Amino acid sequence: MSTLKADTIVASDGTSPVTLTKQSALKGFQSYDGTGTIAIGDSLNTSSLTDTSTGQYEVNFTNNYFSTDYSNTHGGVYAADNGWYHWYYNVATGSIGHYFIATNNTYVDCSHISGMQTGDLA
Amino acid sequence: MSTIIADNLTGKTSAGDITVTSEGGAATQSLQQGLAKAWFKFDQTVPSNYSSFNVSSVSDDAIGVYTQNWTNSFSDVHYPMGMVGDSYPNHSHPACYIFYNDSSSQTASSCKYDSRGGTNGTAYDQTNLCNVHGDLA
Repeated sequence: MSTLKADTIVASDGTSPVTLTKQSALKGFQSYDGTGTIAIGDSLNTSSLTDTSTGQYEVNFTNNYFSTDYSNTHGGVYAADNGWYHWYYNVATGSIGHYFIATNNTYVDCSHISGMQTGDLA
Repeated sequence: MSTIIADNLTGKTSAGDITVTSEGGAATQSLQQGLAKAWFKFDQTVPSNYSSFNVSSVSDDAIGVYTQNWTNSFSDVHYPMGMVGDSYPNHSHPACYIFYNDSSSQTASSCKYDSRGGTNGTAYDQTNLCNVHGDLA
């Protein structure tokens, strides 16, 4: 068994990203509580979170994406123990909105929210 | 194009930190943090995982409630995940809901899930797909 030790891996041209065989790495994730004062738990490539309104959060990235065609998934806990919908909004290369709405069509704050993004960085 | 063939990659300065360059070349990020740390496709009607990674066992706790136990634990209880579920019931309803049973049910070594469907969020045994990220211990 061989072990390669390195701090940074780049493609052979010295600048391009390295290719992972049959794999693609995640480019960003967030674990945060959207109730009360918004609080982030664990994160990657996330510079800040903004509580824009009830049930609406903006995630700001440290490193921007190449385009707005990156993928995003997110979900969370709605304390009222009822059904809810979630979707993303205001997609930009440097940020994205995470929105949550209950089945009674009102925005609701969620706790224990997870979000993650994949795609190409700038 | 050059290809490195190796069984293990380890950070030289810090074993758990290897940096890779972004596609556009404008940024660098941690390779380890970007890798999925666990995933599963779980059918609670069986109940069992069709496929999984970093899962040692799964328990069927109640209707719509189950616990996935991790082979390698996470460094804290704040690891994020993305989830999706089968439509309720029997593919006839467009909405389904999956979330943690409650905040205290996510530990470093396991996570309890609450799978629901329908307009009233009824607990429901269904197939769930999940990928988990964050930092391992």
